[in-house]
Amino acid sequence: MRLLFVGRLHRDKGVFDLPLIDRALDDRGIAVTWTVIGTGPDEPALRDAWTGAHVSFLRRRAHEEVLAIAADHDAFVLPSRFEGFPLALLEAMGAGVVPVATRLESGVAESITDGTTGFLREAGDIAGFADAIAALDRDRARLASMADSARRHVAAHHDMRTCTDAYQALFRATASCDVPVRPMSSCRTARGSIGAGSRTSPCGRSRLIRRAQGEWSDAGRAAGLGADDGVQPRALHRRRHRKRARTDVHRLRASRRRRLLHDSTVAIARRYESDPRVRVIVNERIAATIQTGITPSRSPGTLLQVHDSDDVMYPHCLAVMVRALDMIPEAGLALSAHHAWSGAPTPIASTPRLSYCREFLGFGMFSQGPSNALFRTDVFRALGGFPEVGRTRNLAFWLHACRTTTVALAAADLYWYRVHEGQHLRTAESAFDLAARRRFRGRR
Amino acid sequence: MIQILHGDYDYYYDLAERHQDVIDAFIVGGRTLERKLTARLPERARDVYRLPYGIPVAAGSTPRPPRVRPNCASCLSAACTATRASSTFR
Repeated sequence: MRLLFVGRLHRDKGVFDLPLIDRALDDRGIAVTWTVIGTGPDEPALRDAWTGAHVSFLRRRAHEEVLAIAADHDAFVLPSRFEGFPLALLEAMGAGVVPVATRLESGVAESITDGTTGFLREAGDIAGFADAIAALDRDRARLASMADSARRHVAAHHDMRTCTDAYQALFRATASCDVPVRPMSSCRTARGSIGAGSRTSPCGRSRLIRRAQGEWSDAGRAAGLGADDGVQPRALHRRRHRKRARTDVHRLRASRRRRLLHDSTVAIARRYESDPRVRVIVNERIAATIQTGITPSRSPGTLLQVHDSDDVMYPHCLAVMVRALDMIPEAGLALSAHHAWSGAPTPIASTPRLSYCREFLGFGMFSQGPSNALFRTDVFRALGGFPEVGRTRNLAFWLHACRTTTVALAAADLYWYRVHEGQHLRTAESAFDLAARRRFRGRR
Repeated sequence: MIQILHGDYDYYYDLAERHQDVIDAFIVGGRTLERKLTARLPERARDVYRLPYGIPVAAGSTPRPPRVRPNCASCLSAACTATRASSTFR
């Protein structure tokens, strides 16, 4: 008999049962060879305890090589004490190798029908393992039959193409949320088969959005609220945020008032005004002279968002920002950016010291528009709002804010930052400032 | 955001429970994982998907070599020595 073990060489895998099984087989007069593939912390001890020319330790091998090696074996021995869902077992079965494994609830017992596609034995039952292997050795026809059954089981339930399609279907459905899903017939969910017909994706994001829409509609359905562009208050879906997330949306830049009216920005914002959480202010006085500005005294809510009408807030933006502030209570504002984060999980609590290190020693932090932050209103008031004049007004504000309070760094790319003609960023003064800052960074 | 649970360990269930607010769907590889996860997160049962692992499958039944005879002092044939040394030499 050609016996195979593939896995981490750890006592949880029952590797120290292998020499005992080998000895029991020898007692039964069964000639075997063993191939052991894998490494692990107990490899030295196992090698010491198990010697002989009939045992080959191949250590770590490439996946394709493991599959090829497995095909040259008769039985796969897995005396594990713990398993999740052992892929090595399935791969051995797929290669036509009969498994003899511990009866573990998760994975193993689901994959092996005792006596048909393999053998299940209790953990530590050395004699049971040896007897099963001996039975296969004595009855080669049964060995061939069980090997074929094992292979057929894997082909029926774990076919690579079918399973890949199922995964991709779920990923697509989750990404698009409301797209009808057509999973493969072999895929089942907790509520039963979903293979035959199409349905609306029940994925979590879709569920959250539907819930958010429902809550939002409680207050705003009369106003005909929907999934318009611009501000998407449906992101304020959590009940506990209802009181906190009183976000004032300030749409300014009335210097382009004609354009604002033309693109219905104000009209869209007005549609949300029937909800008590939202207050729209079109500040022509300020906007006539500056690019973005706000009068802090007119902010009644707990949280405050200064939204530039140039930019588009993605639907999940506010939810991410609010969550960041919830998770970091000491933060005075949540801040998102386009590329400045290192890719680490967010939110990150950036203390004033860390913020300055990021700006001056790292990859920059303060090249932000006002839209990229969600403030606690009291903090914003204390900061005095964005300066109304000056070429570096936004930068000055961010330096001041990040020196004063901890910042919750949220995920990047929560906005689409629209670049267009006539933008302040494109003025010569602003371009000079930007170039100077880049040059400063480049000198480091 | 999709979490794939591939082990019957509390660690994975704890992760699922802790981060369920940001997880859209859960993928489990087997019935046991499915049952335990839905028990931990009954309100998310609709988001738990049991998707089997994809495994390469051999094209057909594997040809089996003839049985190797027991290795013993009286039978030290080529086949025996090729597969296993006598217990005397182990």
